[in-house]
Amino acid sequence: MPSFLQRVRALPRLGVGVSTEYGAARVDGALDVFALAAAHPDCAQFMEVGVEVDKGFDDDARRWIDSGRPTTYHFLDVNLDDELDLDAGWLAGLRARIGESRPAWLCGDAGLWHFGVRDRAHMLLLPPILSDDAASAMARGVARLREATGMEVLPENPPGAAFVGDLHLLDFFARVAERADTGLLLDVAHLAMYQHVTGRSPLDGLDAFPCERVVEVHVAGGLVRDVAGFSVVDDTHGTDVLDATWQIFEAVCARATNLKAVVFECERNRTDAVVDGFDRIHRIWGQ
Amino acid sequence: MMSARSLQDVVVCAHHGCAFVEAWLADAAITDAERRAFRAVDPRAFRADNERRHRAVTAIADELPVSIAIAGLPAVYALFDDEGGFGAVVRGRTAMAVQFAACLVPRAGDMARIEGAIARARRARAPGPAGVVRAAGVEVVEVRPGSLEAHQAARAALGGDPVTEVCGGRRLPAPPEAPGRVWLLVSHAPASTTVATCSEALGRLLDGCGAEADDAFVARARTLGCDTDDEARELLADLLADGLLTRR
Repeated sequence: MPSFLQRVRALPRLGVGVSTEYGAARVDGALDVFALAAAHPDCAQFMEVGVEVDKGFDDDARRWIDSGRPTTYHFLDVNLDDELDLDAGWLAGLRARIGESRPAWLCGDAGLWHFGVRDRAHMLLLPPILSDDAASAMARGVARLREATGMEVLPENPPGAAFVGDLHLLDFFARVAERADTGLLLDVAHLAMYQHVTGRSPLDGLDAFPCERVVEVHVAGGLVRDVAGFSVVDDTHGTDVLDATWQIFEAVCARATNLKAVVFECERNRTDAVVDGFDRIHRIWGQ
Repeated sequence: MMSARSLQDVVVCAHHGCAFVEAWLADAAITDAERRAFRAVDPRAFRADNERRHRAVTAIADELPVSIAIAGLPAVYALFDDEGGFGAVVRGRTAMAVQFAACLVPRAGDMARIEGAIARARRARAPGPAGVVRAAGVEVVEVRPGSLEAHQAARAALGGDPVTEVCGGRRLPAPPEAPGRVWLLVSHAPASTTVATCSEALGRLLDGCGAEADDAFVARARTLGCDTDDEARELLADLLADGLLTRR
């Protein structure tokens, strides 16, 4: 198999897009991606569809897919570091969903989507243990999923308030990327959360991070909140993007030579509230 | 070098505020380096989302509404502090609805047995050794006479939105316990789940099907009423054809 840096040349440049997950567009005040695409085509050049294999696609995602517009597939239901989670039944369902949506690639938070067995009552999203052997287990899962689907799999750094382990988050994902020889989805809002709760500066660790492997970036709003005197950042997907998030985004854009796609995760906001954020993304990325 | 799996289990429980976190952290499977890594995190970080228990209970309330209404929410929340409750879900890879139903049997009796059997029937079976097993979607449970009717009545009493009812604290009295035992057969298909009484012999036969060889099944069927080996083999063929048993 060619190396990732060879394979990445074949991946399409998707531009700036939006994200959604099952039922998200039907909530009061939610973003109307079709209205956004009509009024501001450069803000919705593709849709990242968040999917649980069991649930599949909602009507809005299907409408987008059926229109032939580009998509990426964001999984919401697999613990990549758990080999038991990549079972035959789930993989068969995943292949079917891929066949239905023809995404440019697969991506998703590389953390704990559920505890114990995959079950609808077990849903949560926690970061992985930031250790060397967890990075190896994660890399094996990424490689196995790529092999099982024939698609590039981009692990994403998850959100969180409690990060356990002896590695820096960026070091962990650098090891995953190298061992799986894969690209990465860097969520700069999640990274800002990590830097914040661990008392680091926004760009800490970025110099040693393989930005050339970053294929996709997520930008999103966050909210700083106090928990009994401990400051955390909630992943609100609002329009108020933290300064630290913009700072990281600018630094990554300057280094990510293979960046193909940027998602502004703002699915819970009205169209007129999100345009400024998209404009800023375009200005920084140089689109 | 750290081994992450056991530590990840501890972290999950810490996020749910489980009382046994310290006990698990002392487990031999956790290395000193892992303990240091865990303790390096400000404990308030694990409490950043204090709705986790509530969301988890809400997610199982539509499967265990009567059990929860009888046992009461405090008893359900207490299972997060029980290694045999939430701890078994995390470490044992069992479904929370199934495990919590089993834990609620002492308080909710047959109502928890019935809802637990339905929850098991709804879920795919874990892989296991080869042999004759109950088919996917088939469960049996032994209860007291009248328990199925009592469950149906309790379920109706909770109305069209039982999740809101029981998560809002609605309580139901435990139904009276009649003498004797009956067996119920639970059959789950994607479109529906049915629960009906079955004979004691069929209940015991299906209940004991844990990946056994044909000869073992035949021997057990003989003890439960089949007069000859041929009759037992014919019964096995019928149960396979009816979709109550399958070969794994």
